[in-house]
Amino acid sequence: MKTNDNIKRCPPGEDLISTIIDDEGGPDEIRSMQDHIKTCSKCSSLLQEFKTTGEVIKKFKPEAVHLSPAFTAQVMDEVSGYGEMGLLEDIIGLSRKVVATVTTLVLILMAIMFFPEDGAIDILIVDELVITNGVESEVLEKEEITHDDVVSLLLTLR
Amino acid sequence: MDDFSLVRKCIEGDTNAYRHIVDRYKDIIARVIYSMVESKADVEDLTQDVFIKAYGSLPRFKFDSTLQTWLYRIAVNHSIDYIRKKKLRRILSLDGIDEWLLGRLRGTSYSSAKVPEEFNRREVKELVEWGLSKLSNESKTILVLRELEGLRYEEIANVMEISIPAVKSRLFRARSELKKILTPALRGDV
Repeated sequence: MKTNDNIKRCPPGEDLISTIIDDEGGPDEIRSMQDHIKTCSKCSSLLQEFKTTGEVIKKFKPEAVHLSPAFTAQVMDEVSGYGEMGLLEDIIGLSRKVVATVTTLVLILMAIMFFPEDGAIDILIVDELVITNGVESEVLEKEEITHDDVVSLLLTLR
Repeated sequence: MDDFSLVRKCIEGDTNAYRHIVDRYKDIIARVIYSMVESKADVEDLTQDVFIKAYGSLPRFKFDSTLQTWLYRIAVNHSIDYIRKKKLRRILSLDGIDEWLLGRLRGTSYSSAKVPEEFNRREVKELVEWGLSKLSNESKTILVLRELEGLRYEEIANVMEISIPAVKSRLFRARSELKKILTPALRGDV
């Protein structure tokens, strides 16, 4: 925690330390870092600590993973029918997208038709809906109902 | 045959060309996955998933990076998904109330969880494996790519889909995180 705070107060350190350790910097950056660490003990010790940690990591070589001899054949089995299946999946995926888009558009159109700008709705429509479902609601007592009333009514019907 | 020609052949429907790609990169991809997930038992399945996924996405591969970098990206993302699911499973299971969760419950960070006492007797390999396992996915990914795979900044930027300045700052953050985890063990403070 302390280290991070120190670096926050030493903006040149962060980029330069990584650049130097990874040997990704140009001559200017290397010179800039060398000048910086001469005057900044925090970055100097941090650079050393990072180098030590890096050496430890480099000693660690992940073990080779031995895949089964049948690995490639298994992958090829899986992908061999992909041409047809992939195409089929693409068509199904596309159909689903088309259906979802059309449904959304229809819902939006219905919302525009049934919800005029003043927020009022024809009572008959709701009335019919309620009768169809055989449910009574206090909303019916109002002459004009709002969007919230309709939502509440629909939730009741569900 | 070079990667470009093999990919073109695959897209044209020559599935046999994909066999060469799998043979060429399977060991590299398996190694990266192993470094990320630390579970030998799952490496083969995950590697297979990566090559199946890559095959399906091959028509969208535009050679804006090397094929190896592109495969690295799929492998890293797939490994991270796997790690997340595994962590979730561990948390949801009764055995999952482990050091990580306790650390979270106590309000301490994952990386600052206490080093087990028996740790001093472990070898360097185990030390690093343990240290990497304590890192966030982001830090672990960038250190695996840089320190273990030896990728240059530009390649890391391609794999992780971030800018080169972001690579530098994330590497710095990852090293700070790892240093904080490893230092007590390296000094024998525990």
